[in-house]
Parts: sequence; structure tokens; C-alpha cells
Amino acid sequence: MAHTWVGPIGPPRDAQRSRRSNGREEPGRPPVHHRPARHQPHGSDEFSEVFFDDVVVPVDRTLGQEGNGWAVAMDLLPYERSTSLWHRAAFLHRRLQQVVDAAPPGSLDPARLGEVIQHLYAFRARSRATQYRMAAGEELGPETSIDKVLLATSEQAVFDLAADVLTADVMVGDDPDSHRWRTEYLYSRAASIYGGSAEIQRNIIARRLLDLGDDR
Amino acid sequence: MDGEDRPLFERTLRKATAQQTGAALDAALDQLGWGDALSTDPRSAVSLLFALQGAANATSSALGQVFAHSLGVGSGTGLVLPPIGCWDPPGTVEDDHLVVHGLGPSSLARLDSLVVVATMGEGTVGISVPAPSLVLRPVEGIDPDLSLLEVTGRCVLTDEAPGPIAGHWSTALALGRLAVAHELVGASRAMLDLACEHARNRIQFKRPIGSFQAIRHRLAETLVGIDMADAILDAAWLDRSPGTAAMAKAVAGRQARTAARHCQQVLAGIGFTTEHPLHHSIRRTLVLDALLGNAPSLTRALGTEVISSSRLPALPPL
Repeated sequence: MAHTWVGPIGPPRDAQRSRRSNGREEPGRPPVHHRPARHQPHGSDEFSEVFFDDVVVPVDRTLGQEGNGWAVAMDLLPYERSTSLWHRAAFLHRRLQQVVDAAPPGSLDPARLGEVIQHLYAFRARSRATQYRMAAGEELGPETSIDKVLLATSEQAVFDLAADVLTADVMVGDDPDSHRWRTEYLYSRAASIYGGSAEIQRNIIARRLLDLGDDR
Repeated sequence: MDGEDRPLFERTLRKATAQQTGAALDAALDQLGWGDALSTDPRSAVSLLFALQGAANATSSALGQVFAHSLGVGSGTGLVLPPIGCWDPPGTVEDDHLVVHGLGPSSLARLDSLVVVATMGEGTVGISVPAPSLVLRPVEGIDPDLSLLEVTGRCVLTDEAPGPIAGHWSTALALGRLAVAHELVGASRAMLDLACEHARNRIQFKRPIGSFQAIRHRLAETLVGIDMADAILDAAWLDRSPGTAAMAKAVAGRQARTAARHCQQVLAGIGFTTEHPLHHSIRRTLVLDALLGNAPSLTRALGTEVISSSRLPALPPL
């Protein structure tokens, strides 16, 4: 991998906790090391905790002010939400078409399928508008939380439908296609957790878009 | 509409819809040239007026004008719309009779003749019908402020053969659905504004109730729905296909029902009284959702079509 994005896994509170855990020095461990977190759908290590022990980082390689990493991450996230989500809609569209193609006769409820299509379509339309705003040089901000909420609900709607329609494949199939449906179904559960959970997004929307103040 | 014209047009429409309703709003729209805007820039004319009309809980004859403009029939007024929950033309020609079942704004009662679009065999025709040969029943219903008329009748056709219409019903229906979807979004935003204001000002347990996540998340969910409807409306104006317009209408109708539920819950006791304006918007969104096909029926129709064709509609391109 040419570039590795190292980001905080939570607000500064968590960073302090991991600094404390760094105090337990293990002899022979390299100064930059990581602890992969195996997660259930893929059995792969998509995320890991990265530790820097006594590592000297040149000042010109830092982003923003020291101790302000959380703020930098918060500024970057809207951009991540804007571009990566565009591809995600195309992927979900392809998978939903495959659900329609593979569905046993009579297994698709037209009302439910129609609603999933509308949701996915609206998510894509929202993402499209965001791409244009970014291309026009507009600064992206809290309104991209709406894009993220739409991604999470669309993705889970598509794979909920897949699990209910291609039940045998997802639950007891052991061929490669079934394995893929199962993996993607399980991974879709993360859509309302990663990149700011569903609750965090709704709090951002409430505070910054609806002017409801803080939640405490 | 470009440059400074659009904000100016919007300001004028905002003032008209905030101050006038019914016949007075029709007169104001005539005076400010909304009909001309409908011809030159239908997107601006329809999206701005209907969103504002929905937010202000105003009524007008503009929806009929949208249909008439798209179909190329009549002088813009007097067009009969489909009955509640339906979207086929309101008339059917059977032998030498015209059977009419439709709806219209209260302004129809002041006209000498009405225009009925009717299915005749395989085609669609526009027929001018003298008002006395139709029955106009003032509708009270769930939203009396809407002042609708139910239009019914069975009348003998005159010797003159009905003329075919210039436009397609499906195109007019699509434009009409976009108009109603914008009105639903406008009414939903008005409900959300009322609920947010209450959430900021109402103190319980020594805190504004808007600081409780149970309240915040309901209102955030409402905004997500509204923005979702706006996004799909944007896509529908770009591709101008009847399918996308139907999706926009369905999403706008469904999110308006969600907005009504969340906002009524947040506004709680006061929102349930007639002292508070919320009930006007709730009543309005219920009827607008049902007009030209409600969310469940449009959604089911979409699913049925995709199951039979095995083809998903293409996503909006960049």
C-alpha cells in the first residue's frame, strides 16, 4: 500500500487512553507498530490501531496544529463522504439489479422493492449534487451528514432485501456467490457505524443544520 | 431565468403566497406574470411557486394551469384534474357520452365552461364542457381550507368531434407530480420550522427539549427526508422522465407523512390544538400525498414494473 491514512478512532479522550496504553513498552517492538482489528464480515483486517512509540515526526509532515488532529479529521470527513459515496451508489445499484435477477419467482414484494429503489435513487441524486458543489469549489460541511445518513439507510435497505429474498444463499449457501452476499450483508451493518455513526450524524444535523444547540 | 431575475421572482412569489390565497392569489399570479414564466422557465416557475404555496398553506389554480400548459389545451384555467388517489384523465368517452369524475380548485365554479381531458378509445382528447352540465360539489373533507370542488357528470357529446390534445397526458402528469411534490416539501419545511422553534424554546427538566436526543433525532430524520425529496426532485427536473417524477412524488409524499408524525410528536399537546398552525400543514400534506397517486400506490407501481421488466431505472449520471 503506497499511502496509509492514520486517523483517530474517536475524539481526544480516546487518544489519551491509547497514550497510556503505549506506556507498556515491549522489548524489540518497532517504534511504529499496529494491532490489526479483525472484523467479522470479511475476516480481514481492514482497520487497525496504530501506535507511535518515541517516533520523531518532522514538523512539516503534520497537518494543522499539534493537539488539533480531531479538528483536522472533522474537516476532512465531509470530503471523504462526498467522493467515496458516489461510487458506493453505483455499487449498490449493481447489487440491487443482481437481487432482482436472482430473486426466486414471487419472492419480491413490489412495495418494498419500489421503496428501496427510490431510496437508492435519492441517495445518488443527493451525492450528485454534492459532487457538483465540490467541483464548483464550495466548502463542504455538516450538510454532508445528510449524504452519510442516506448512504447508511440505502446500503442497509439493499442488503436487508437481499437477505430476505436470497435467504438460502445468505444463510446456508457455501458457493462463492453466497459467500459474497453474506459478506456484503454483514458489512452493510457497519454503514451506520463507520465514518461517524448514525447517532453522531443526527446530532450534527440537529446542532449545525437545525440550530438546536448542544445535546447536553 | 438567470442572474438577478430568479431571486427577484422568488421574492415576489413569496410575498404573494404569504399574503394571498385562493382567487386573490390567482389574481396576484396573473399580475406578476407567473403564466409567462411557466412557458419560458417551467422549472423555476413550478419549483418556486409550489414550494412557497406549500410553506404558506395557500391555495391557487396553478396546478390546473401546469396541466393545461403541458397539454396545450384551454386558456390555462378551467382544467379538471383527476379525482383523489387517481392519475388517469378525469374523463372517459363512452359511445356518445362523456363521463367525468375529477377534482378542481374553487375557481372552476366561476367559469362558464370547463376543459375535461378524456380517454377515447386508444387516444386522449380535450373537451370543452358547459359548466351547467356538470355537478360541482364543494369538498369539505380533511382539509376544508383547500376549497376543492368534486366534478362529476355524464353528458351527451355535441355534434362536434372532440379534438385531440397537443401534448401527452403522461408528460402533463409528470409536471403536475413535480408541482405537488414541491408543495409537499414546502409544507414539510414549514412543519419542521415550527417543531424546531418549539424544541429550542420549550423548557422541560430545566433544559430546552431540543437538547434531548429523542427530540433531536426525530427532527434530524425529518430534515433527511426533506432533503432526500429535494434531491430526487432535482434529478427529476434534469431527466424530465415520467418515472423519475413519479419517484419524486412518492418520496415527497412519504417524507411529508414522516415529517407530520415527528413534528406533531415534538409539538406534543400544543401541536394538537387548533390554536397552533401545525394542523393546517398536516391536513394539507395528507391531501397532497393522495393527489395524483399516493406514496404507497406509486411505490408499488414502480416495484411491479421493475419485477416484470427485470430492469432497474438507471441512476442519475454526473
